[in-house]
Amino acid sequence: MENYKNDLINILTKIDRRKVQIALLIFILSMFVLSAGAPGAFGDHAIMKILAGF
Amino acid sequence: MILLLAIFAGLIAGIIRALVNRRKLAAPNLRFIWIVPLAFLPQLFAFQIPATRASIPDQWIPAALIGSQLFLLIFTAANMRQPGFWLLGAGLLLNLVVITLNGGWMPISPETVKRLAPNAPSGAWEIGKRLGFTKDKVIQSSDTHLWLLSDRFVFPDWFNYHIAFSIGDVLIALGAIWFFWSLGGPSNPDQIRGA
Repeated sequence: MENYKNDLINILTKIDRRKVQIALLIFILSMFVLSAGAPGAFGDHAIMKILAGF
Repeated sequence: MILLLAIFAGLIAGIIRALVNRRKLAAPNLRFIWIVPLAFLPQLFAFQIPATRASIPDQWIPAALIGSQLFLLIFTAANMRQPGFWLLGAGLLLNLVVITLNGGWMPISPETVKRLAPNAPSGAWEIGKRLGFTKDKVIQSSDTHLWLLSDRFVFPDWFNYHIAFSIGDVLIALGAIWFFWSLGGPSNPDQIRGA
């Protein structure tokens, strides 16, 4: 158990905080554009699949 | 998906810009970032997850959509000084206005639907009804409030990507590209402070 804990601490301390923050930005902005825009029409091919009877 | 491509394009452009400038990609602190997942959740259940979107009554959708976008508007206003956010906010506002004025749905005209899916089987869509599980409702152009802001644009046939989009969607895509492009540029004190 102690080994796992140490491994986890090692991993966490090696993570580049800036990279994590950029990844978070990408994630958040992706959610934003999907919610602010109109998916289905201006999203993916969902509209075509729906209309084609999928 | 194409809006996600805008993020990807902006990110690539930002990385290239950072490489050219020999600096690291900036990681600005955005304010009230927790609002976005909160606003996304109702739309996730209403439009994205097949199991839930089929069981949510259509009459709940307008409240979920408008409420969700109002939260996003707060997030945008709180981060207005970030590059591209005024475009994101303007696009969101245009979509929100046309959706609100049309009963909580993004209007799409029958003509646009026909252009999107000329070979759609009979009964696949109906005027006055929701288009599949999307945010769109098929409404005649003459009955649409602010038709200019509705999902009325489509790509040319040769593009082979059959989607309809609004002016607001275009602004949102441009805002996302601008924001990620800015991450590769000279340091912006506002970005670092998150102001």
